[in-house]
Amino acid sequence: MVRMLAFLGLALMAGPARAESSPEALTYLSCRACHADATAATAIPPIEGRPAAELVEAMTRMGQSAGDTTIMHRFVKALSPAEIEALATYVSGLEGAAQ
Amino acid sequence: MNRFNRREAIALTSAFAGGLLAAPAIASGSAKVVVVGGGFGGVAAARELKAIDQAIEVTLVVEGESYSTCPFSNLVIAGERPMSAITFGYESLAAQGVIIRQGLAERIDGERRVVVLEGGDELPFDRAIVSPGIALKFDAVPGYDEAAAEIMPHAWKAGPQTELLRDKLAAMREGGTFLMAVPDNPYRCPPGPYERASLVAHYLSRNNPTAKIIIVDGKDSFSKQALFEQAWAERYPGMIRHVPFAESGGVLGVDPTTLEIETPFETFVGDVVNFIPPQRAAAVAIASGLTGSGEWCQIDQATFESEIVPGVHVLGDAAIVGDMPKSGFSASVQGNVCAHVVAALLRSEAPPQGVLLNTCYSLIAPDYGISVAGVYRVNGEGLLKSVEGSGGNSPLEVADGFRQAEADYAVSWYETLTGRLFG
Ligand SMILES: Cc1cc2nc3c(=O)[nH]c(=O)nc-3n(C[C@H](O)[C@H](O)[C@H](O)COP(=O)(O)OP(=O)(O)OC[C@H]3O[C@@H](n4cnc5c(N)ncnc54)[C@H](O)[C@@H]3O)c2cc1C
Repeated sequence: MVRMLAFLGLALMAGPARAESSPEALTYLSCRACHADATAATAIPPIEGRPAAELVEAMTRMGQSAGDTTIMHRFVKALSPAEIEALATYVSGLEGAAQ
Repeated sequence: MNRFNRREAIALTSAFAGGLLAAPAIASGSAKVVVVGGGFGGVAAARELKAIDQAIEVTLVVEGESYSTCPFSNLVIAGERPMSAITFGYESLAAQGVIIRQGLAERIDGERRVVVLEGGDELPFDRAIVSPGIALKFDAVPGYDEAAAEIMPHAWKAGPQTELLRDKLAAMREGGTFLMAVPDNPYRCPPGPYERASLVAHYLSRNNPTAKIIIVDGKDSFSKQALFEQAWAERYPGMIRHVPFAESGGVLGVDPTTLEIETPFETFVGDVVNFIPPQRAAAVAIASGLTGSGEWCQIDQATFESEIVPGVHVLGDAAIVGDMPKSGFSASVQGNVCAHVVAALLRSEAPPQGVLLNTCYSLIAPDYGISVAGVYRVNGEGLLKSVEGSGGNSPLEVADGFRQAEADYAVSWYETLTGRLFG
C-alpha cells in the first residue's frame, strides 16, 4: 500500500502521459489540432495545464448557450457531463508533461 | 483510493516503467509499422506512434522531399502567401525517430506483409497504415487528361499545379473569365472549390475588377452554400456566377485548345480554366486491392483496418471513413487515433476509442472566415456517425468581428496543426 501510494504520487506529479490511450486522451487528439501548446501565441487559446474547474465551467457554459462563441459549442453539445469532466481533468494535467 | 482510476493507472505504469526501469511499458520492441503517404494522415500516424512508444519501428514512405498542403493553397493562388509558406520537410519527423523512406510505394502486399517500393525494395511490416490521398481521374471527362491539366490546371494537389493556376490568374486579361468546373461528391475538401472562387474574387476585385468567375458545378447544392452566397453578395457583388448541375446538365467534355467546357445546355469559355476532375483513391490503394471493386477504400470504421486486406489500415481521403469529410483536419485526427489503435493491436489489446472532431474553415477573404464543424462517434453497429445535435455551420446572422475572428482562427488552426505535424 505504501509503495502503491508512492507510485500514485509519482504519477500525479508527472501528470498524465500525453500519448496515453484513454478515451479522453483520444478525444484530445482532435482538440490539439487547433489548441497549441501553452508557449504559442495563437488566436485560439492554449488549454493545456489550465485548471480543470475552469475548463469544465467554460465547456459547460458554451454547451448551454453559444453567446459569442464561434465554434466550441458545436463540439461540446456532443459530450456528456462525465466526458467533459474527464477531458478537462486530462487536459489540465498536461502542463509540464514530458513530451 | 477512488481517485485511482484507469487513466491514472496507465499514467502510473508508464511513470513507473519510464522512470524506474528506463524501458517502455509496452512490450512491442520489435514491432514494425510502415506508413504510406507523407501527408496529413500519414504524418500524424507516424508521429503519434513514436509518441506512444519509441520502441515501435516506424517507417514513413514519402513521395517527395517535401509536402505542400492543399489547405491554404487557395491563398497562394490569390497571391496572399508564397508557396514556401505551405511547404514542409520531414526533418522533424526524422528527429522523432521516424525512418523516412523517399520513393513511391507500388503496392502493399497484405499476405506477405510487405510494402513493395518502386524499384523492387520491400519493407516488411506487422501492420501498415496507408494514407495516400486521392488520384485525379484523367479518364472520366473527354478531353481532360494529364496534358490538358497543364493548360486547364486542377490545382487539386498542391505543388506546381498551384503555381501554374496562380500565374495564369495573375496573367489573365482585363475583364476576363475565370472558369471553374467542380465535380459531384465525393471529392477532396467539399468546400474547397468555393473557398477558391472566393479568394480568386478577392484577388480580382483588387487587380482586375471587371473580371468574372463562373463555377460549373457537378451538383446542385454545396457545403456552406448559404454562407458562401451571402458573403459573395456582400463582398463580390455580381462577380461570381454559380451554375448548378440542373442548369447546365453537367460536363460533357472539355477542349483545351479553345478553353471550353461543354455541357448539354451551354458551352462555357474561360480565359483561365480551373478544371477540378472527379477523383478516386490513390493508385497504390487500387493496386493493393484496398478498394475492392469500388473507387474508395472500405474500412472498419472503428479501427481503420481494411475490410479486404487484414493488417492494413487505411485513412484520410483515400477511404470512406464513416460520416467524416475528406479534409486535412479529419485525416490528421484519423491518423492520430489509428496510431493508438495499431499500438494496442500490436500489444494484443482491445483497440481504444474516442470522439473524433473535424473543422473545415473557409476564407472568403483574409479577414472573413466561415466554418463547418462535426463530431463523430462509433455507434453500436461499428459505424463512425455524426453526433446528432452537434456540429454544423457558422451562423448566417453574426455580430461585428465574428467573421474576422473565424478568419483568425483559421490561421491559428493552420499554424498549430502544421506545427504539430511538421514542426
Ligand atoms: C484547394 C484545397 C483546399 C483545402 N483546404 C483544406 C482546409 O482548409 N482544411 C482541411 O482540413 N482540408 C483541406 N483540404 C483537404 C486536404 O488537403 C485533404 O483532405 C488532405 O490532404 C488529406 O490527407 P491525406 O493524408 O488523406 O492525403 P494527402 O495529404 O494527399 O497525403 C498523401 C500523400 O501520400 C503521397 N502518396 C500517394 N501515393 C503514394 C505512394 N504510392 N507512395 C508514396 N507516397 C504516396 C502523396 O504524394 C501525398 O504526399 C483542401 C484541399 C484542397 C484541394
